[in-house]
Amino acid sequence: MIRTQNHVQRATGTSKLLGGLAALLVAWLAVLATGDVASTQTKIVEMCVFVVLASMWNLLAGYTGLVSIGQQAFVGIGTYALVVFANGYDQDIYFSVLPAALIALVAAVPIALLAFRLRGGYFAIGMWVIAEVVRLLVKQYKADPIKGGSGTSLNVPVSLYPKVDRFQTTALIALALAVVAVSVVALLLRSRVGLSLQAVRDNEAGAAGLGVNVYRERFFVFMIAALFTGAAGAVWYLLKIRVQPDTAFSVGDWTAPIVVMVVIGGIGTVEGPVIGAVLWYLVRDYVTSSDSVIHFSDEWYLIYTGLIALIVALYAQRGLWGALQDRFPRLQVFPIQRRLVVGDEVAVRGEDEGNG
Amino acid sequence: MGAVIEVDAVSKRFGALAVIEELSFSLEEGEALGVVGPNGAGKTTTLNMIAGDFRPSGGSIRFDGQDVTGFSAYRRCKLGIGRTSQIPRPFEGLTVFENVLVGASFGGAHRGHVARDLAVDALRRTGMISKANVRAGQLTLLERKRLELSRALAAEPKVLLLDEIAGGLTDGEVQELVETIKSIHASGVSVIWIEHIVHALLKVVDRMLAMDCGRVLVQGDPHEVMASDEVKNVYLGSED
Ligand SMILES: Nc1ncnc2c1ncn2[C@@H]1O[C@H](COP(=O)(O)OP(=O)(O)OP(=O)(O)O)[C@@H](O)[C@H]1O
Ligand SMILES: [Mg+2]
Repeated sequence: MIRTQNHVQRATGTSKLLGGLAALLVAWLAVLATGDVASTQTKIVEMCVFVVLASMWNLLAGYTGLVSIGQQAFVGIGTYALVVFANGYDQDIYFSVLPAALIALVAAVPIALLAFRLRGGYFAIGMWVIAEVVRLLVKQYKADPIKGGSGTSLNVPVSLYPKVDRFQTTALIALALAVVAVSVVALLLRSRVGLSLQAVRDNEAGAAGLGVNVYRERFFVFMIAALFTGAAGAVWYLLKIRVQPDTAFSVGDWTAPIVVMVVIGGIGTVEGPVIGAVLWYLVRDYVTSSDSVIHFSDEWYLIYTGLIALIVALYAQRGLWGALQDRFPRLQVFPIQRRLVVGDEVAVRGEDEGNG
Repeated sequence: MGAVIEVDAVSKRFGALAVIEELSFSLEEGEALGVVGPNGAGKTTTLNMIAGDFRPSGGSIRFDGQDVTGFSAYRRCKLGIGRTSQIPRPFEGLTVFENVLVGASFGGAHRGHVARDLAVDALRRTGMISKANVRAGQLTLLERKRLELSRALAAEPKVLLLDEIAGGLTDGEVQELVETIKSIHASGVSVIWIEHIVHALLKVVDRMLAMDCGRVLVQGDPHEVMASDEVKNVYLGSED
């Protein structure tokens, strides 16, 4: 083979600029998180939790074709694992997020082995059924610390966890979790595995025909999604305190808005779900507040945004971010693309750096 | 020289419809085999079973002496069975280069600059290098077919299965494609080429197999097969 000075460019001008802006935004949110405005901290937690949930759902549905409407199973498992560690074993509530996430990961193994036997729509419904079964099982456990269907509250004595302190810490944890989750998604997609995930997204049979082990990639991604979804659920309840199976495992509270956010923001893109989740929250915040010209209840807001998502799914499949990318092909926040620069075989200049 | 692909009494039914019936043939190492047959003869179905897209209803398939009947498509690709698809299956959101890199990285199991150079080489050999940074979703049908070949090549196949990649090309383009496939074959890759454009096949293949209704009609010397009564009967009235 001819030695060439080929190389692959990853970052683009926009990715450097937008990446820098994103870092500034995170820094600003960190400043807000350490402030003393509880309502701002609540918003940061809610938004960051949904950024994590939306990014993970998108990783599953947008890249591996695993459209799950049962991700609330992992929200609930993470939440109840937090309750067990914090209330049952008297562990530090913040520390308990870690084992809670790991429990969600462990639970994902048998769930995947079961649900992966189903395809397409059957998988989607199957996941929902699994989430319902877990919810009902949790409800049956009437003893401490779960306390069955009537639910329980996370033990946060103010002597140990002063409210201002808890809001600050939780907001910072939520922000850190969102940054880590989105970075994991971006780094994963940037990697060799990510190339195959994008291939699977676009054409599953084509990817398999080129040597991609689709089952293994799906399994791997399902585990990552469970880990972060469980962590996100636990972080949410660090703030909300009151835990009930019917809300922690609710499809309407979790997976329904997640799907709406991902579809509107742009399924199968890294940036789309983040933008979708943030937009969805900002707009909801406005239209459910009293100073808005038009006023919606939370339920009507979900219904209206659901309708918008339906229209987007029909007419602009790759959502807001996808539409922008169609117009500006090199637009990206995270440098995932690989742009080949074919080397000049005569003029040997620069290094031939490995990449890929 | 032994057989690199052995199709042994393979059958395929889709529900009640028997598409392939007790089909047997083999591909010798280093050989180029042409496959002809009318529409619906079961050519693509046969190729899909060799590539592992789906399992036969009966019979077995061996590759390099190993029974691969139960292997999924990705394992067969890694073993060295490369293929193009009659209906192209591009990764539309990825660039042409990234498409080809999938083949080099997973089928070929290479990393970093090795995978990259393999992809570049495959793009050069198939004349797709100028399209390297174009999104596959923006390619024309003919370019998509050529991309199928580039991707398959980047996976470093021992056997290459081609399904109607010359259809729709101009005479000049067919000639170019013939040269490309000849050079791939000359580099030691065994080839099965399904094609309706017989004159292109005749320039490349060592042996011809004519199929009809899921069975082998005749096989042997390409010109003799094309001149045989069996093939003439099947193609009666449809001059090519
Ligand atoms: N997935 C499927 N389900 C049902 N029937 C199928 C399926 N795939 C192929 N067939 C049928 O099997 C028969 C053989 O199809 P196949 O595509 O293998 O033919 P072919 O020889 O490749 O034809 P062509 O020259 O038109 O490409 C056809 O009658 C087709 O309708
Ligand atoms: Mg066919």
